[in-house]
Formats: sequence, structure tokens, C-alpha cells
Amino acid sequence: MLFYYIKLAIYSLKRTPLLSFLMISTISIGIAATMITYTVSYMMNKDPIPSKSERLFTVHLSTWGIDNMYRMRDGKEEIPVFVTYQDAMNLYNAQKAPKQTIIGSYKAMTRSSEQPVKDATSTYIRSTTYEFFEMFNTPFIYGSGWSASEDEEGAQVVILSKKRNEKLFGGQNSIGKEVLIGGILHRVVGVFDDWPLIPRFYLEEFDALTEVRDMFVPFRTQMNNEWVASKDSSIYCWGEFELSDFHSVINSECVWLYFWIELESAEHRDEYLDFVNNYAQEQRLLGRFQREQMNRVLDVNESINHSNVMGDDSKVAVWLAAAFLFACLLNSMSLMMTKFHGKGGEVGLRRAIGASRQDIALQFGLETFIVGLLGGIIGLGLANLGLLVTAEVYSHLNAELMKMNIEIVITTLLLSIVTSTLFGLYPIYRACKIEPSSQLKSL
Amino acid sequence: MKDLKPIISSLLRAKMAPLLLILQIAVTFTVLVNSVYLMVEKHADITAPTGLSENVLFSFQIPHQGEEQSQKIANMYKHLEAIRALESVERVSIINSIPLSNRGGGFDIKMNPDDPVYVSKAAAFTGSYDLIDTMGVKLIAGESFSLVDEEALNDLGLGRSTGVIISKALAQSLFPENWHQALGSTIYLNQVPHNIRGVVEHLAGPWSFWQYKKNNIILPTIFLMTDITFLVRSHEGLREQTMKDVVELLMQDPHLHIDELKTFTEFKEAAYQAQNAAYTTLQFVIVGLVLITMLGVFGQTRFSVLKRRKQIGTRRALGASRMEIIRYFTIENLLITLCGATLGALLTILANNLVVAHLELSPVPWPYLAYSSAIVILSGLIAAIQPAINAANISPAEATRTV
Repeated sequence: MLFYYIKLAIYSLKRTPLLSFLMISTISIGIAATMITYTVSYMMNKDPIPSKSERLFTVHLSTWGIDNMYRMRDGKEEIPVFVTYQDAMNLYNAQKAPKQTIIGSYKAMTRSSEQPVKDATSTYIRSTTYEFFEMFNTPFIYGSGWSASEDEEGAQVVILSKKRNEKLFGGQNSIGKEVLIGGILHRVVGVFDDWPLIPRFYLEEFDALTEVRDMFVPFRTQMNNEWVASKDSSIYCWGEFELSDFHSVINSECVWLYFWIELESAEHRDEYLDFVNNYAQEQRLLGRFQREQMNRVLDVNESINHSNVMGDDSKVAVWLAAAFLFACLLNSMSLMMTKFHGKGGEVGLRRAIGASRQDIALQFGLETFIVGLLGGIIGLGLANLGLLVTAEVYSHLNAELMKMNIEIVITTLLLSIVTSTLFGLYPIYRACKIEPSSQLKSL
Repeated sequence: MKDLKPIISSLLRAKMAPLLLILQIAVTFTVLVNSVYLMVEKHADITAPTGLSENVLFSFQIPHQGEEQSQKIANMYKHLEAIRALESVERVSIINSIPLSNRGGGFDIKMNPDDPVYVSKAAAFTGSYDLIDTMGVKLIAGESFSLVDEEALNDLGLGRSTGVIISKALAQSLFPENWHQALGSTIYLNQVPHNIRGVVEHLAGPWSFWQYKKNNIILPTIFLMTDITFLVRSHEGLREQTMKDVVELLMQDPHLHIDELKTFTEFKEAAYQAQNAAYTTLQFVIVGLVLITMLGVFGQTRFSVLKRRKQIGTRRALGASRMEIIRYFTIENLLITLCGATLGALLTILANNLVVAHLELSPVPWPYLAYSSAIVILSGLIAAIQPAINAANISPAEATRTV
């Protein structure tokens, strides 16, 4: 019986090709538009590191002066997402958390030791401590992070991205080879694989959707070379400071370093916050931290929300797309009404020769199901096409944002079938209500 | 207008089908208003004047890592001299950061050093005394810097008493009633007083996404960072040639690196890539919305014509002209789209309140409701033409046939 109804439904769709085409295409366009925006926002919003997002925290400190506030946000005082060099070192050396890391940055001319001087390119480099790679699950192809002792002595070591390893060493295992950074030889100790971490939550918002940096070196090495962050990253200052003087910057109240910790579990968070507040109290006695203290410890998702990585535009876009889908569904609903209206005679005849209302509902229900399925499949194709175009137009964003995963594919098909069946309920109800007598008279 | 009564009563009788269309138009309208507004906003962003002579400017950096300061200054002036001597170069200046390059420095601006909160924020551009002329920024009040004001230092030289030149937007935010008052007044950057000696018309800040992007300050201090940035102004239409000339000139020194050689146009494109992308997307969205509306109206009108073949035939048989039939369906259609647009306007206002309450966005101004109504009504009318003509072509004989 079911197969017979499916056959009937297909036959009925074929009989009114224009109407069927319009229904399927409106649904597929609506589905495509919704799924494109949804994919981008889903990829932006999904937990970037599900195994640890509850246990990784960033530390924000109220270090600004009594007379100057860092900034206002939504009518409230805001504290920086960065910390000063002295605070980063103090918190790091305290080793209060099982793992903690400092994240800095600088820019230098780099080349492999085999390349001539003129091939050097200016490179944005990430400086950090050895814990970073384990804390953030960096995937390595060759080698690994540097060791704790290399970290401590500020060894001249470097970790390359897969991309940079291909450019400098043709993609082979380059462990032990040498790279010149700012004229100083660094030994390659690791090469990491493609690392699509979205958003790159350990950075501030406008860096969070860009590609990972191509070179990582120990933070201590950067400090030993007195390479202070020049123009490549954010630095916010107050009080006495001279940006071009290394010693001035590290002794100043300039904030420019991210500080992240990994705890054993989310429950230890308050303990760590107490430690941070105690630290602030100690510093207060030394004349720093004079403002009202708003120090905080944010986990990964709180930190993402705080920096508003997604942006209000894309939130609005999802809503607009959903409204658009709604309009498309209303459109297809009125098309279905037209269609079933034209079939009044057929319904009357079938009812007269013994079909129950349920039978009619099942038959038409199957028809809307097929419309929804086809709309979903075509919509999926259109959405993927749309995402390719989007990736082209939004080339400044990480391309990983514009890729569907299997969950989204299934969601798309389900959304299409469920919504079109739902919007088909009323037309079907109307069709079922047709009395055999009213139709048979005019036949 | 005598058509109006039968139209309304027939619409009321049919209920569901026209209601669906009205709802569809209302929702489409809401999306349309927001999209048109966002698009116009992005367009304004992209086309906002930067104040610079965009087509003749390019810049590059020379890294000076590890050089003594005196050596750095000597090299810098030597390079400036050599570049200025090139035939294709009109002007060259040192600058701390390029507008729209995403790199730069900002300050809290206070009118009184004891104020707890800043009045506004502004970015600082600092460099050679003739920076304004090189950028091509237009001075609209006060005076420019002269050679005696220029000094090369290890910081921004905030303690110097050269005065500052500010953008008109900053002057307006400091003196909302009359920005002319800014000239000669004192502002505080990091608690240090500065006299405003000039005002420039437009000047884009370092960050295109910054709330205070139009507020900018110009200082005549050459800030000696590890990388020195040169801003070169070529003669009209000779930018490509000038870039080649400059690179060739500097490459004569084998130890020299040139970094980030880029035209200003490239910086601008990169800065507005997100806005441009959104702008393109919104154009597609608007076309899609119009198409869906037209499809809906087309379907609905066709449906109502189909349902009333017999009635139309009767009317024709009783002496109604083709024009009258067309008029009937056009008015019916207009009525539905108008209802849809009105409901849509209500929805928009409702959505607006939600958006303003939950997101930091500005509400849609009234005129956009009018624009969108025009779009919806026009596309409705166009879509109704074919089915209406179809209706007019129904022969009076139709009335005598049983359907």
C-alpha cells in the first residue's frame, strides 16, 4: 500500500510539473539560504576544544591606574584581556595551576639557513611556553613541542606550520634543520599539522578567525633576544612607558600577553581566582592594582562570548535567513493549497469508493514528504555551492568555517522534510475535509 | 473604486489563501527592510572618504633591528633624501602607521586631566612635518606643521609643545555645538596637554572596525620603531612606476630589507573586505527576496484566476471589458501586498525593538520602510501582470460551460 501511495505521489508531482518545480525550488532556496548562514555561525559557535573547554581558563587582571580606566563597554568598566610582562611572569612562576602558559607575539624576517638573504620574508611569530602545545592539543606531524628545559634556558628552537615547512623544506621531515629568525639560527624541533581550531579562542576577537601563525618559538627566547612586540599585536599602556625600549616595556604597565591555565577540573576555578585575588592584594601593597578589583578567570566559552567573536552581524544573518525560510515555506504552502484544490475531484472519487480520511491524509502526506526530501537534497547542493562562493567572497576568514560536517548535512535534510510536512498539514487537512458528495455532483 | 467591495468580500470568503500570501509578504518585507538597511550601511562604510589621495600613495617598511639610534636616524634621512630625489616621486614622509592598515595606536582624549572618564578616543598618526601634504589630507582650519616642529624620537613625543592637528570628526565630538571652537583649545592625551593648531576634513583611522575610526590626531614626531614606515606619494598615474623605481633604488644596498610594500588601495581593500563581502551577499539576498515575493504573488493570482474562471466568464458575458477584469485582479493584488507591507512594517518595528534590546545594533530608520514597501508593491504588480492578462482572455462563453 505504501509503495502504491509513493507511486501515486510521484505520478501526481509529474502531472503538474510547473507547480512541483515551483514548490521544490522555493523550499530548496529557503533551505540553502538558511543552511549557509547556519553553517557559518555553527562553525563559529561550536565548542573549539570540547574535551577541555571547561578546564581551560584565561586570566584577566585589573591593573589599570586609579585615574584611568581601561575602557567602557555597555556602560560598565572593562578590564584588558592581556596581562603585563611582570604579572605573566609572576603568575607563571607561581605554578599554581597544573599547567599554565604565556602567549606573546613578534615579527621578524625569517628564512631557512639554505636560502639566500634576499629570500627572507617578514613573518608573524607566536611566542609561548612549552605547555601551550599540550594545553591546546596541537597536532604534530614531525617532532613535538620543545622541552621544559629548552623553555627555561630560552633555547633557539622553532616549531613550523605544515604550510611553512612545505615552503622552506619541501614538506619533508625537517627536524634538526635550521631557520634564521631575525638573523639568529633556530633549530626546528617540530612541525604541526593543519590545525583548524575555530575560533582560535586563545586570541582576541579579530585574530580569532584567522589562520594559525607559521612559527612558534619559546617566549624566553624572545625575551632573551629583547624582541618586544612591535606593531604586530595589540599593546595597551598607561603610566610611564617607552614602546621602543624593551626594558621600559617589560617594566611598564603595558599589557600585551595572554595568560592561560589548565586546571584538573572546573571545580578548581574558584581556588585559582582566590589565588589571583590574593596576588592582586600583594601587588596592591606594592603600589600597583589601585582600582577596584575586577579580576576574573574565564573558561573557553565564556572567553569566546566575552570577545563576541561571532559578531552581531552574523547573529542577525541567521535570524534573517530563518525568516526567509519561513517566507519560502509559506509560499510553498500556498502552492500546495492550489495543488490540492485542483484535486478535489480525485479526492471525492476516492472517498466515494471507500478511502478513509486517513488514507487521503497518508497519500498527500507522502507527497509533501517527497517534496520536502527533494527540496532538501537540492537545497543541500545549493548550500554547498553557496558555501564555495561564500568562501571565495569571504576569503579573509578561515575556510574551515565554510564547510559542512555530517551533522549539518543531516540537519539540513531533516529541517527540509519536517518543515515542509508541517507546512503541508493545513492543505492536507483541507483536502481531507472534502465531502464526496460535493465533488461527485460536478463530475 | 466600485471594484473594491466585491474584492474585499471575496478575499474575506477565501480567507486562507490570501492570508498565507499576506503573511509571506509581511515576513519577506521584514527581512527586506533589514537587508536594505544593512546594505546601505555597508555601502556608506565602504565609500566613506578616507581623506587620503588613495590612488597615488604606497608605503613600505625598512626594519632596523639592532641598530644604534643615531645610525637609525642617519639611515632614515639618507633614504628619505634618496627617494625624494627620484623623478617619479612627488613626496615622501615617515609615518608611524598607515590608515586602514589595522596597526596603530590610540589614546583616551580628555578635556580636563582630572576627569575620571575620557570624552572620546582617537588614533594618532605621527611622522614627518609634511605628512599631511603627503597623505593629501585637506586642512580646513588652522595651520599645518613646519620643518622646525619635526623631531625623531624614541616615543610619540607627547611632551613636546608643537600642538596637534585633529580630524573634523574629533573636533565635532569634543565640541558638538560648534567644532570651530576646537581650534586653539587644549586636549589631554595621557594626561599631557596639547594645543589644537589645525583641523583636517577627513582622515581614516588605523582600524576600519573601530567605533572611533574617524577620530584622528596628527603629530610631527618621527617615532623610531624597529620598523620605519615610509609613505610615498607618486605623481598622478605613475604609482606602479614609482614603486619599481623606489625598490630598485633601495635594493642597491644588499643589506637592506623592504617589507610590506603595498599600495594604499590594497590596505583599503583588505580593511573593507568583510564589508564588501557582506555587501555582495546582501545584494543576492535582496534579489532572492524579490523573486520569492514575485513567485508568491504570481502563484496566488493564478490560483484565484483559476478558481474563478466561471465567474470571470459571467462578468465578461454581462459586459465587463478586458480592462475591467485586469483592473479587478490588479486591485485585488495591490490590496494583498499593501496588507502584507503594513503587517511587515509592524513586524519590523517589533523585531527592531528586540534587536536593539539584545544586540548592540542601531534600529532601522523610517525611510527604509518606505523603500521596502515600494520594492514589494512594485514586484507584486509585475508578478500579477501575466495572470491578470490571462484572466482577461477568458472568453465569455466560459460562463455557459460547466467546469
